[in-house]
Amino acid sequence: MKTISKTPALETRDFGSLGGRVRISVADQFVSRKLSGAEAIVRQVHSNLSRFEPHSELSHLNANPRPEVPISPLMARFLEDVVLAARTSGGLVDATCLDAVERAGYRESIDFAEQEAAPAGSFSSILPRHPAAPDGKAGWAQVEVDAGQGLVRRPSTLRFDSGGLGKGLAADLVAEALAETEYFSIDCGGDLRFGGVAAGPARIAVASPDREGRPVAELTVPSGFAVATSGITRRVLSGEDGQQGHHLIDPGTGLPAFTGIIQVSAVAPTAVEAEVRAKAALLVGPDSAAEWLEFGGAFVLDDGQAKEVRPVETASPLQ
Amino acid sequence: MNGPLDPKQAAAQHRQKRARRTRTIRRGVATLGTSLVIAFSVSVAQRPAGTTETVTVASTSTTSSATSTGVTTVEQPSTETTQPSDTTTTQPEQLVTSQS
Repeated sequence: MKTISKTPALETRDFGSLGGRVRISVADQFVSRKLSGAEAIVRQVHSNLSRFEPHSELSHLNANPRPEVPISPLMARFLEDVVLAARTSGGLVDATCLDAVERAGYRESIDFAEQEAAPAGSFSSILPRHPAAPDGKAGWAQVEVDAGQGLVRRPSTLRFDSGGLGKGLAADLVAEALAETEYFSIDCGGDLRFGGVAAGPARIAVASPDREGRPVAELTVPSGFAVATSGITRRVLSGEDGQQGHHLIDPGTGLPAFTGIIQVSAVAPTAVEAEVRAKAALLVGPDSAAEWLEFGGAFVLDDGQAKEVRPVETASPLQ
Repeated sequence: MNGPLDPKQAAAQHRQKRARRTRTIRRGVATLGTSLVIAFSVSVAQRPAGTTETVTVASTSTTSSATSTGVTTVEQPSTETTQPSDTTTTQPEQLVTSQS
């Protein structure tokens, strides 16, 4: 591995997109151009995949009554990720639960940065803890993506939520574009991917479920890999029934999931896979969470206790 | 009294003067670079082995009971600086993952 001591200085760009802050750092030649290109990729993902933009491709797709709809290559890749996420997680990470997400109170873009985090333990007093289950209807299994023809076939009542998968996809696309630089990192609202030809492993701190708390763990992550964090304390919603909830839905019940875990961070070769692993680990609950963290990770129980999971040698990408 | 220089001679004198100036600047830059390298090496040499310069996060203690499964309980965080043990790479920035 080369050291990066002779690379140009690190330059960073920070901007609002994908419902939060995005931060991209690059050390390389012509860094300004590369940062601009990376920013354009993120903004394109937001423009196509935001469900809060009335004229986004996703909004048009969700409103389209025809069973077969022409789609862009970007949408094709996103929908392929949606199917992969659901299939590899046994239907737990289901981006077709948009109706349930909206019933939970997430109908419009909300600035959660100003919101106070829910204290650990506050949710377990509302509902009993139990592992999440897949939706028996498995609408995601009826999604057929034909990337070559630029078409998707799906039941017209099925609607998609880009959510964390969209952020992961943005991070992965930027990583693909910057792979040949000396060093890069991208932070999409807390989901990270970093790498570059001169990058070595990095130590990544895991932020506390409380906004003000100290980091709860530190993960060693190989170059080129990603870390994603999912949790239920920083996006507190008020549902249609007035019940306090959050945006991570148990597909089996259609209600916010309360499994005994309030936050999971997962390491994986891609940001999309890290998102899938983090969400699946949270949804299965404390007894099985570690099985989803093969590449390493950490989770926090609803009593505030943090657990770190070491990577296993036999870890392999989801496929 | 010096007469006007031949244009070729004037150009040659100008080139010589510029070359002298460039050499002087290069020597200065090289000296400065060497000083910086020495200063950096000294600062690294004085740093305790196995530590990095910028990473400051909560330390993590582990319980022995769960180590065999690869899951470790992270105790109450303290304000100590961590002592990374399995990498000597100095990463160029501090990275933090948080709920997205």
